[in-house]
Amino acid sequence: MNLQLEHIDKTLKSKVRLGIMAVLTVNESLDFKSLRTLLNLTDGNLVTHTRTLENAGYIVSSKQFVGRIPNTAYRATEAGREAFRRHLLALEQLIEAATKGSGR
Amino acid sequence: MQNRETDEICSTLTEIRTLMNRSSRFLNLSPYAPIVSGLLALAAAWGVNRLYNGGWDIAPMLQLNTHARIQALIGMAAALVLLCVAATVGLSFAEARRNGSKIAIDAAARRLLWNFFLPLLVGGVFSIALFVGGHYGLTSSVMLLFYGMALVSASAHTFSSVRFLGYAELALGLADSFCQGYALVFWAVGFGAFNLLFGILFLATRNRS
Repeated sequence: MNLQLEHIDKTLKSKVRLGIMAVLTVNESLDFKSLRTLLNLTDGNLVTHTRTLENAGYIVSSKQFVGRIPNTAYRATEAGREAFRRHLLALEQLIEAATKGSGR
Repeated sequence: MQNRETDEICSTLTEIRTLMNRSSRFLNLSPYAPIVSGLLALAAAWGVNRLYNGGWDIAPMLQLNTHARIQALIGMAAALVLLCVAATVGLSFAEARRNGSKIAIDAAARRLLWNFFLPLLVGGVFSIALFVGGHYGLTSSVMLLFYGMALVSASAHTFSSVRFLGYAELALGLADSFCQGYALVFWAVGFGAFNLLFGILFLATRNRS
């Protein structure tokens, strides 16, 4: 079982960050407001988590101005997509191993 | 301990899946929208048949022999489209209220609108061109074909079952293009019966889950 645990991504262990990656993999890009409503988060919370993901190189942001109001759009990077895919795969394998182990 | 952990992972995976679906698809489409649209289309087909044909021929040939009649028919078709769109929009708002969500013209809704209305608009203008040019015979199949394309292209951005209605319309449109003189029958089946049937199936499967 330890074999799969190394694929569990530390950055994606947080449910919020996993959620952000999930919606960004199925959307080309999303702006701050859409992300906030989709994930039901506060501004500060979302900022913290997106910053962590940006630092890990999983997402990139670009700031645009709509009139005078800044609007940040987020996009998943190729590395981010790959990390998300591997993390999900590892979780699946974990479940598989666990269900087999307990004879369910 | 082990079980609780796997259960937690399972629930996380389910949540992630719904989140991915909700963020990329418009899911407030009401099953009553195709039902209402289908009934409206059937009523329109019946009305047009009464107006321009009168009898109950098995192969109703519309008597489109005057300019005024052609203009009236195009006008009625446009009114029908507007009515169906209005009904769909209204019912979607009601559906959103039922689901406890707000209708937002977000990225998913915009993609749905664009992918549905682009083929539909092109097909609509093309049918009018055919009609004005006097090629009545192919109009109904062109309408069915473009409607089918619009549904298939829209299905990626809402409930995926919509694509089966699209496939059905495409098959019917192709069949129609080989048959002459049954235009109104094909039209009524495609826009009336198929929409109605799809709406009923949609409603039944939704209530089950």
